Amino acid sequence: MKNRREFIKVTGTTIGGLVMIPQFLKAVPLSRYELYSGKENLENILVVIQLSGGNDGLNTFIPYADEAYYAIRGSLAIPKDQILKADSNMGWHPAMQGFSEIMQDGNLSVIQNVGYPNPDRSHFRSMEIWQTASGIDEYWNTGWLGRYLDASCKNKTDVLKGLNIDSVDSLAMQGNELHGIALQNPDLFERQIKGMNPIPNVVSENPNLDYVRKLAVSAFEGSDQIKVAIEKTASYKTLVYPESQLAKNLSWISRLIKGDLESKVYYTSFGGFDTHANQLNTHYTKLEQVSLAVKAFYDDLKSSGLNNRVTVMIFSEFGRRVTPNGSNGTDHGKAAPMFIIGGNNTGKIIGNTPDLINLNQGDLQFEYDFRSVYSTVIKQKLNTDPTLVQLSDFKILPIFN
Amino acid sequence: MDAWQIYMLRIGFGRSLKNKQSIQSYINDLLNNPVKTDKPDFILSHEEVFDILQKRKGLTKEEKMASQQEDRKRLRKLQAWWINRMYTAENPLQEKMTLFWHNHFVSSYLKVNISSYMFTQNNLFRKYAFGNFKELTREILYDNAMLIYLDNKQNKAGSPNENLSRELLELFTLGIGNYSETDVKEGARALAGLSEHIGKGQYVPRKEDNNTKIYLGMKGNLKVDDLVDAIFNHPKVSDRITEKLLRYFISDTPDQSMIDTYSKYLKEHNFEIKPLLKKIFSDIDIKKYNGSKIKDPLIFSLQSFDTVEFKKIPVRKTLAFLKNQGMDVFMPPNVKGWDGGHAWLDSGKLIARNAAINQLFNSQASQKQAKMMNQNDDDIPDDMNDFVPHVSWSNKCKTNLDIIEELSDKLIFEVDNAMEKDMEDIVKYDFDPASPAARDTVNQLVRYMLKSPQYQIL
Repeated sequence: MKNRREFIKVTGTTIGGLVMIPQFLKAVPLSRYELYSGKENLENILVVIQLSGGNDGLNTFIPYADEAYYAIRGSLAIPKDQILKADSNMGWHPAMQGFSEIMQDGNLSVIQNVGYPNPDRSHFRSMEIWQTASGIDEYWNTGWLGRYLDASCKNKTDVLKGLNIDSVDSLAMQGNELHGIALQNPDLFERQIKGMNPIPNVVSENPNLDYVRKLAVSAFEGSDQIKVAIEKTASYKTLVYPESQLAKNLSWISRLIKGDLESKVYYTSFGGFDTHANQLNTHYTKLEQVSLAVKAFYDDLKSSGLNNRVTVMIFSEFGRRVTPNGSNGTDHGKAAPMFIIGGNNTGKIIGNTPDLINLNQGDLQFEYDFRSVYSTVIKQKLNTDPTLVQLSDFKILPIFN
Repeated sequence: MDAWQIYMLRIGFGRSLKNKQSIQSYINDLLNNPVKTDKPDFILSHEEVFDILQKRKGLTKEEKMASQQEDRKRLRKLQAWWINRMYTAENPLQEKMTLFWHNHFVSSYLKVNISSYMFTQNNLFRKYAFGNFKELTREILYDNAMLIYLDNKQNKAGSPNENLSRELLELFTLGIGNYSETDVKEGARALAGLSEHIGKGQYVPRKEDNNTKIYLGMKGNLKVDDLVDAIFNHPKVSDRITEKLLRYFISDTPDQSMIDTYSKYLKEHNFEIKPLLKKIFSDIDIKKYNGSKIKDPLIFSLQSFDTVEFKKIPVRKTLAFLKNQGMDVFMPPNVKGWDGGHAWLDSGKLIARNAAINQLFNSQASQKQAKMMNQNDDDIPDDMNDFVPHVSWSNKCKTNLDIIEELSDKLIFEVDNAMEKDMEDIVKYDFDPASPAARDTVNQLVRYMLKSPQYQIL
């Protein structure tokens, strides 16, 4: 029997050599995941997207009905008529068309004014706090997802329970045991692993050597599963993703999910949000890239019936100062909204419209601790007791149905 | 591992060297020799840059992009120039410190967009390779690339931009916990108006803030030089830089007591780097720290090229490799620079390193590839013999064990039993160094070594 790829090759080629996709193929959902989705009790999956540099939340999800917004933001304010309205108070930046549509689809929740007590305005410290979920005075060397993997993976050879599709590994995914691996291009990974020498899984007296060996061993163990997932999905016709690194990473994540890779957590990041100067154009471009990439990912998952199983969480290390800085930009700030897509969320705006009058040193006051959002996801989506992940006593929020 | 090699991996980029001097006197020579700088001819002067920027204003969008594209080409040449310089440096320690400063006072071409400014900054780092930390901090605040990278160009009285002021305290000098948010704000006011200019930055009078500021306890109409004085009166000013130097040269995880000792020494020696490095290299027995660092992608590349005796670097390939490994010179990922240590490696990067070694030895393919990769670089010769892997061994090697010992002494920080056994499987007991097949066998051995987890460590 011909496989899918050959089938398309045969039916899609005309005499003139032009490749045409027959009409009946166009009409069906482009992903064939439904052939595999008969499986019951498939586990939930979390996809975390980190926006690095401090995204200007106030210009992303905008309190357009508040005159103070225009008064304070001045030339950086997005004109009211360009804002994509979400309700009578809040609306999306015009580049966030995709997010607006997902919200209309009922699959996007916003948690307003997320932050933590006594926030730090350093990119690096604040990112560390978000990734480790520590308090401001605590310095932890494991990440919240790493600890989740520690708690939930009984088998230490579960190397693919967490996968970082990124150019850099993330502290968020580091646990006491190594459960996650990081790579940027699974296809290349798969090809390159073939030239590797087998590495003994032994412990030495040198922690650096043990670290490198663990990476190698996980790469070997993970590569078989990645190979299966890639092969399984090789013949899928996937939706077209836009051109950006984030879109590329998300399209890989989608493919691996559809290939039934056992990962429960995927992590990726996207930088360029540190808009100290001439923010309008830069921010527009970055938001548009995020919106297009995430919308493509959402459509892809939805057409495969996966959007309730997969929860997407989007955050940045801080928001930006409410008052612009005079360079047509904004300096480091504090609280900002977080976005949840899929995972059977309520599709609501949780929390108050940002209060632009009662500020904390010129920044938005935080209303929800980000660790509440983490706890909610850990408990309700990943079915794990948050205290096992060192998240104690944080309120569970009504994010999910 | 051979003691010289342990040192060469730390004071340079892993090219092997053995001379009749003692290691100590060699290091002292490197530190005492006058620093050498020169300017490649493809780098424009600041006058030419100002001229181009002026002319760009009248150009169409396409013409502007073409002009920017021209400069990107210059930047690539500059990258090639620098890594060649690291590879061929007579004084590797000078380039090693230049790279250290590049990763401390970080600027990225991706934002600066002017290759000439990146070169000026690079040369500043080279001039100050063993210079004074306080003076370099002052100089970097007048550096055009830095003023652009951290938005000080846009910092003006009445509407300050905090970017440079914050990182000056957080990353360049004191570190978190040793200053307040007020210091950041007041510092930004003092820096207001300091903007790019031909040669180096200058205050633009109409953008300056001439009101009183209070910064780290100092009060007055403070300017950039006053900020530096205030910072360098702070008791903690030498801690961060000392820790970074120790992590860079000695171990990814230096003891706190070691940091305290040398931080105090740096302060007592008026922030001069040369006496500090002399002290560190004479006090500390580096051999004890063998195996305490993860190898960065640059050392990984240059040491590997040296091992297979490349006369030149396959530049394009190397730049692509460094980029994929997350060590694109002149383009660090953010203002904090490369974290180093375990952050150099994850599963994807480790197997990409292995793949690169396979390519290196796949000689015919790699020759073709090197040719392909280099054909458009003006400064790369066409002589492909430069890229044929070749490993030599001394005539002391008579048996398989001799050759294993000689090569692993040079390449592997520590050989355990399993590795020894693997290597004896590759080079068997009947190995004859004079046989025609010996070269292939030794290539296989080296290939195995360069792909081992041990080779990722120094």
